[in-house]
Amino acid sequence: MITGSNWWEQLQSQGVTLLATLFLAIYLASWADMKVGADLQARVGPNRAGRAGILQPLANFLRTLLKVGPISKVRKGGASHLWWVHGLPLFMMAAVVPVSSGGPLLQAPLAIFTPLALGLLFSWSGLLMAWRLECVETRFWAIRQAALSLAAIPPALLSVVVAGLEAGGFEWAKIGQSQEFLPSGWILFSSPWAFIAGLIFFLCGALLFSMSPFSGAPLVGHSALSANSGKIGVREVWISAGRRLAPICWNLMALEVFMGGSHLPAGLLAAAHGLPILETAFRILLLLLKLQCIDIGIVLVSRTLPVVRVEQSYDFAWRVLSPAAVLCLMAQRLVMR
Amino acid sequence: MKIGFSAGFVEYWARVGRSLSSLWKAILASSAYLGVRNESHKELTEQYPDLVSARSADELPPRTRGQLFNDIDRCTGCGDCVTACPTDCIEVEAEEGPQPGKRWVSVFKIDHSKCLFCGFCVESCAPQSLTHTKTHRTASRTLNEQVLSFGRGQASQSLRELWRNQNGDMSPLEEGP
Amino acid sequence: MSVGGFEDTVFSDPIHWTIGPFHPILPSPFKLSAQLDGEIVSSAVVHSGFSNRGVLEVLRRQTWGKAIAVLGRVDPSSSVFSEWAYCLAVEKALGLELHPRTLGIRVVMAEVTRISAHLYQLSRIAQQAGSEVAFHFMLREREQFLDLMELVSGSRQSPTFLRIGGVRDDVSEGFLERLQEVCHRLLERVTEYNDLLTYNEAFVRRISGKGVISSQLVRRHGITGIPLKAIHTNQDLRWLGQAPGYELVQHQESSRVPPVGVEGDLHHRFVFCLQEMTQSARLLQELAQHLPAGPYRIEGAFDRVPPGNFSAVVEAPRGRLRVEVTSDGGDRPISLSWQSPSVALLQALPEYLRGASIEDLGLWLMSLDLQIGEVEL
Repeated sequence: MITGSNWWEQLQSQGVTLLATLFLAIYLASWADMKVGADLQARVGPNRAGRAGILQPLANFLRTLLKVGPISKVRKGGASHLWWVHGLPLFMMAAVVPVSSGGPLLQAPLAIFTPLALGLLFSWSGLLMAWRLECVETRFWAIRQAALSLAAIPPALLSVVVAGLEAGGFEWAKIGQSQEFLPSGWILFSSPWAFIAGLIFFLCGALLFSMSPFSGAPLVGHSALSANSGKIGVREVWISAGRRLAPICWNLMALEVFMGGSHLPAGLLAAAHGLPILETAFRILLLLLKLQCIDIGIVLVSRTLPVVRVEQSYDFAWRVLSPAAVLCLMAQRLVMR
Repeated sequence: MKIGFSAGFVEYWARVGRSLSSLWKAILASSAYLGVRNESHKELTEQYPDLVSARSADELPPRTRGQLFNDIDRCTGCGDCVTACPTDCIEVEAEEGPQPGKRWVSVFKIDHSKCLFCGFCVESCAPQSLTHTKTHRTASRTLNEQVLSFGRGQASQSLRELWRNQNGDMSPLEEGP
Repeated sequence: MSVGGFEDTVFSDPIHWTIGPFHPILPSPFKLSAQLDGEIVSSAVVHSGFSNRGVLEVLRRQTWGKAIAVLGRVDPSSSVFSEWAYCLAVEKALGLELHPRTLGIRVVMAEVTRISAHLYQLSRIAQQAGSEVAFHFMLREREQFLDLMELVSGSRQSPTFLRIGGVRDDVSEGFLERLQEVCHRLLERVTEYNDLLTYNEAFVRRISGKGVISSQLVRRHGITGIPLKAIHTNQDLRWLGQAPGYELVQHQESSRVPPVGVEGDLHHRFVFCLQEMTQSARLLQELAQHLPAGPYRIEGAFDRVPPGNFSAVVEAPRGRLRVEVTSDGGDRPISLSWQSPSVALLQALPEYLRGASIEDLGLWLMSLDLQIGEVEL
């Protein structure tokens, strides 16, 4: 939605909006996962760091930093190894932030498909880490994860196509213009097939990033990702940070595409009095609110259900999500004709 | 398993239906705990080591077998607890005390690192001087701190002299410790 | 353990994978060397011995009465049954006839232990299945049963409560009322567990038809406990009249649980375990109202036991525990044979695991209710 001569200011405000939202969203998502998850399980949850444990994610981050060794320590020697093993996750971590925040900035005709490519890239980062760790169960987990991500991409692709057709184009501008602040103006609620497509898109995100209940058998592979494992290194920190970031980015893209993005109501826009900072702040708050609502829903489902085997996840993706996505597309084409 | 197309189609939708109903029931069951805390929706965990909400000695049942305590004034030094202990963690030394029949328990040590907290010693104690307290927080950094001593210590020469004088015993004092 | 490069992992050369002795998917510390064909376990070898605590050696120093404290700690989660089996053997040697109240109190303690052991087992399966909510909920109920144990005996898991000829103490005041309350709440909670886990479609599809302990496997290795009773419901010692004290309750037989998948599979055993637990809760509610009055202990020293071999079997939560003591007329046992139910499971493990996918290995192993401590002593 960048138009006109003051594109640099618009770029800055849009970029700042999305960057700030991302980092605040990760923080709040981590906190909600811990606290709401604990509530569901009849536990107390974090309650030491700050009131109701609100500073717990910060405490965990500081602790991880303290546990991580210097960046020059490698498990296998060799500078070339250092480069591509360190460089690739760093790039992925860095690439998500500006690119996804720049997502709505790209006005290319097929711009809304970029998050899908990012999703695939992130879910394959597990493979990278698994190969380095030389651990049987982690490698099997990584192969299964890669296969699962391939299964999740077609329905996600189709659901984005449905959204684009509903909006009248695959540019961010078209998507933005076709939506409003109120839920009645969202693409998600514009028609039954768009609603199902939106659900499919969220579910594909859960599959791609192996979020519970699609997390497959954790075994020991996942414990190596946590800060408590002795195998932690800078690489794992970046990769696990990226893996935490990826679902948020995916949900943010889903918000932009299906749920009205950061459209402010007319009243609030007037209240901003044309000040870009105030407007940016309102947009951030609105996006955060929407993301948190989605997140609470995710916590409710993911912390309650038992984990399914990876074959059940493929089954779900190929036999339920893909046909459903095809049906939505067909229904939409029929109606639009 | 080969099944006909229509049966497979029905089974497919039956599965989808069952999955959705499981999802709904599971969410209902767990979301009943969201923000609700009462007698039937209590929390599993307790705050530790917060003294306010953690279990204090008053909350524990009367029969709780915590750390042992020996009331040395009632103890007769009979050594029944030593015999009863499966892990030989009690050490008792007693000698003749101020009055005939009243023994001076000089050493009474219980090594809680070996203790099973089984209660056989308490059961065997005739004067009921040995009891369980409700103290359960007994972690320490060294093994020595796990040994609790209730003995009065070896009676000194002057103390024995005092006893003899009290009893009117004028015979020469034996060499003692 | 060495894993080769890309080719070795992906292109189905059998891989050797050693798990243990400490691993989140193992129920107890032992080493499992699995030969993998792709992702499927083609064979497995069990190496045990990591939990040998020298219990038999410690027993040499114990008299008949003191041995109860040591044996109760062989298997901490079903401690009362270990004490019970030993006491029954010694009482058989001494020819003691126990008071009815003793029998009643022993049955109460045993069933409370059975419920807490089953809750623990079910919660571990729930944890392996990824259902954290069910895991925590089951542990919460278990806490209440452990508190009941503490009310009576003073200790949550190692009660050291039974004595030769009776029990250490009578039930404490308010215990029976609290027992009924807790059992009532458990029966209400079982609906929650069913909603969250037992009949959850994802869980059912994950485990039904897998991890089958067939009737042949049971017979070949002498497996007792849930795997046996799920298939042959009439094989419960309590209802075969071989467990003293159970005549005080109305005769109950476990009703046959129709399996969703295959008989003896993981889901079948899970549901049967849940059912046995609810049966115990109802049993306790009944017994709490009709506990016989009278003395709870036969007074006497019981220092010496007549010479000979004496054995007793109890229906422990894991299976049948058989204890055989040998006496030479002295004040301590000269030998003790401890045939715990986990021995048969450990023997059957290699055959059982054949065909398991490594993703499901945790569930298969955890559902076995194996405690290596009672195998190795």
